[in-house]
Amino acid sequence: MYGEVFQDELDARREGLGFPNEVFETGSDGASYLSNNIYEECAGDDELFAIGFKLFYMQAREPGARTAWRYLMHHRNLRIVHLTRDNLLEAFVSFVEARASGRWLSEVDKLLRGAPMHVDTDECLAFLDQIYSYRGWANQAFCQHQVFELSYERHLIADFGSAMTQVQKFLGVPPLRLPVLLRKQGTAPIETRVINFDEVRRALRHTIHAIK
Amino acid sequence: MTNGRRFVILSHDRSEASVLRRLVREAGVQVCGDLFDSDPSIRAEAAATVGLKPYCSGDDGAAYLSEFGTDDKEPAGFGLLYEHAARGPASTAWDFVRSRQDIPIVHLTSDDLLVTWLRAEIERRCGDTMNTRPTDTPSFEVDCERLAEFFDRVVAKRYWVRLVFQSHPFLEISYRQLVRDRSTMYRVLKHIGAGAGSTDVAPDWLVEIRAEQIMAQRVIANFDEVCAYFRHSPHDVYFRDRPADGQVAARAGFCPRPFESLGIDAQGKLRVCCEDWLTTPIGDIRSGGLAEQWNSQTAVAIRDSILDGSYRFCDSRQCPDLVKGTLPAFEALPKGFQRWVAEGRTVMSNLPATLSLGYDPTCNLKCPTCRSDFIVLKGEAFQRALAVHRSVVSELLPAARQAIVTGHGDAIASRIYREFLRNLDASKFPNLRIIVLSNGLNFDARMWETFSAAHSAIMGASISVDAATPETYKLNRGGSFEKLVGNLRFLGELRRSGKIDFLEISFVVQANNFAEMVDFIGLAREVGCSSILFMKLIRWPGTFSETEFANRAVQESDHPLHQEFLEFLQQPIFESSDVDLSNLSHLRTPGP
Ligand code: SF4
Repeated sequence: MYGEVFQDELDARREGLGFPNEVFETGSDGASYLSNNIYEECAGDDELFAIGFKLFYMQAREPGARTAWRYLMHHRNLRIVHLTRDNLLEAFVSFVEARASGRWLSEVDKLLRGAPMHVDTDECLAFLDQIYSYRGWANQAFCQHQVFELSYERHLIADFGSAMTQVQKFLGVPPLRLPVLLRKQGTAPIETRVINFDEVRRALRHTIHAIK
Repeated sequence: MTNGRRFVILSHDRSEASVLRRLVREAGVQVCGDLFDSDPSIRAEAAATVGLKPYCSGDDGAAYLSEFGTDDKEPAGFGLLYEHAARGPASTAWDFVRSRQDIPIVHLTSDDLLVTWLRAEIERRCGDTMNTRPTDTPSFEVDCERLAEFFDRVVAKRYWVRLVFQSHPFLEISYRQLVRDRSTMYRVLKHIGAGAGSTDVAPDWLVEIRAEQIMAQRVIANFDEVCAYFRHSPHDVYFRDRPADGQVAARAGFCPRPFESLGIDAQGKLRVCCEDWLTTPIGDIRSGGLAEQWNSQTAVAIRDSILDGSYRFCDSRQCPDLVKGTLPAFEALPKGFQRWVAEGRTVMSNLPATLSLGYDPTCNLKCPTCRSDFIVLKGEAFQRALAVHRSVVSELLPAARQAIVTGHGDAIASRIYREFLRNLDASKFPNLRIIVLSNGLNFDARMWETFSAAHSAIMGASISVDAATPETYKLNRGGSFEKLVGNLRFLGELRRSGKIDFLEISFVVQANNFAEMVDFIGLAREVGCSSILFMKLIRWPGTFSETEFANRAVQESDHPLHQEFLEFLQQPIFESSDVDLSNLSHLRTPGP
């Protein structure tokens, strides 16, 4: 399983891929890269049961790279694990926290305690609308594929072990007990992590993202 | 606002709401523009048209609206854009409109958000209003991210409006309908309680700026870049070549299914149609309440695709109605449903009328078309399915008119469904009709008796067989053919004596059984079935290997027996009214 092979930053792409694989060159063709480097390279490897990578909605959107989406949509035999968040506001706040700290992932045993953040309500709403829009699109774009909807809150956080078993079953790979390596960034209630939480609540009130 | 006949026109910015308001006004109805516009002069102008004092920033929105034409006997309305009264004290205006469920809502949308945005952008740059001539417009660069933000915002808010105003008198129309379809204005006037028909619904000044007239390609200097940016994105649709008027390949007829049916499958996915021909689920049992997900974003998108005639979620090679071309015409739909369609509703305030219970896949057989091993839910999996079942019974069953038990597995082998049929007191669900789907092997007289309290609700049964001889039955199903035929005779008797209305037997056509199709019809008629259903073999996940499927799929043109199969299907018996070739119909040339 590779990481974000279409990440904006070259270093992050390299990290997502691991040595000695060939990293995606900015401006080159995304579809060819998937075909020649991610999937086909391992075609003859009997030890490999499945191969995949992680892709955010907004990745591979630049010229060249964007053909990766066409490749994925056209190859209906690919299985899609669609990871979604029920609480998009939480996702946005984690994103703002990670952006501020420069740390996008944290290991299980390292507790993070950042200062509460100010949230720009316009940016927040635009982010939520965008995810809402792309999530709906992904459901439609991959409706002919086999898709496993994996909820961050209801599956990964609630019961990581059983979620992983289900994913492995979906992918048709022999089940392994997988350890939890990463923890979510902000574990404190969102109200305490956002200085202007009331303002955010009011801004979202008459929208699809209203806080219940 | 409670005494007069008030209405609200909801729309997004650049939706041409001013055109609709002008049409309404010209029909003699009082309507004003954007009372909550950020520009005080626009607010003042809007308020003046209805003799109201303008809204002052910082005032309470709800209190302001409560002053709106309270004494009027005639309808009066105002426009409210998604973006208006979004923050601060003004935002209570939305609470006000939301809480008054007697206020008719006219929701004006745009089919083509690119054209909408461009038109307004051209207008802004050229200062021209109604008769913009794009040919005279200098081209300009478009900021893709800004445009995407506009699209995202409108799409999210449009869904929100449909959801929160589902209990209001609600009419959704598009700008395109407004300018092309004369009956649209008539419907609007009727909806808001104004005397309809008193207006010229297509006045001269109403000039449509069509997609092709905008000539996005010429006006947008970086058109190729913009197109590429939106490729494979939620807004790709606005950049594809659009068929000219009259060439839209809209389907004749409406499919009511996504508007009235809900199924829950063994994976906990919620569906508005059979997974075999509409693969996209509308939700997941773990994602929230059933009633809430009935109107999920995807459910609404699927219904939209039916209303716009694109049927883009449906697999036209698999869906029997699409293969046969038998979608009911709009006029043939029940009146209540016709109203939903005419109102353009995609968010349903009714709960589903038809339920397909498929969360327990338990079966006493392991037919190769369906599964590779026996499945009997036990332990935790059983408890999970039972919890789903309880939610269905408590949340959805009271409103349902039909329940299909079960879409996947066997209704009699499943403890959950068996107990359900045993314990159901039909007198408590007088409108409910149940169809039992089973392989029939355990559906005998004794079993039927255990369902005695549910008898009046059980409308019929559909029995899957796939063979007309014991040998083929053994291959395709694996049970005792003799026992099955005995049970079919019993069920046939139930039908003949009027205890059930409907008895169907079904047959998944494959290379090893197509030669028995005629005998199968004979068997069905002999035992007393009302209908005989033949279906195409579909490769379900976890069933056949590719090679095994290819060997069985006689419907595929490259199958060695395909020609023979086609000739076989030409027999007149397949034209009989009790025979349904469903998604195989296209393989039969209709008789003279
Ligand atoms: S697949 Fe067929 S039955 Fe299902 S919604 Fe589409 S047209 Fe209707």
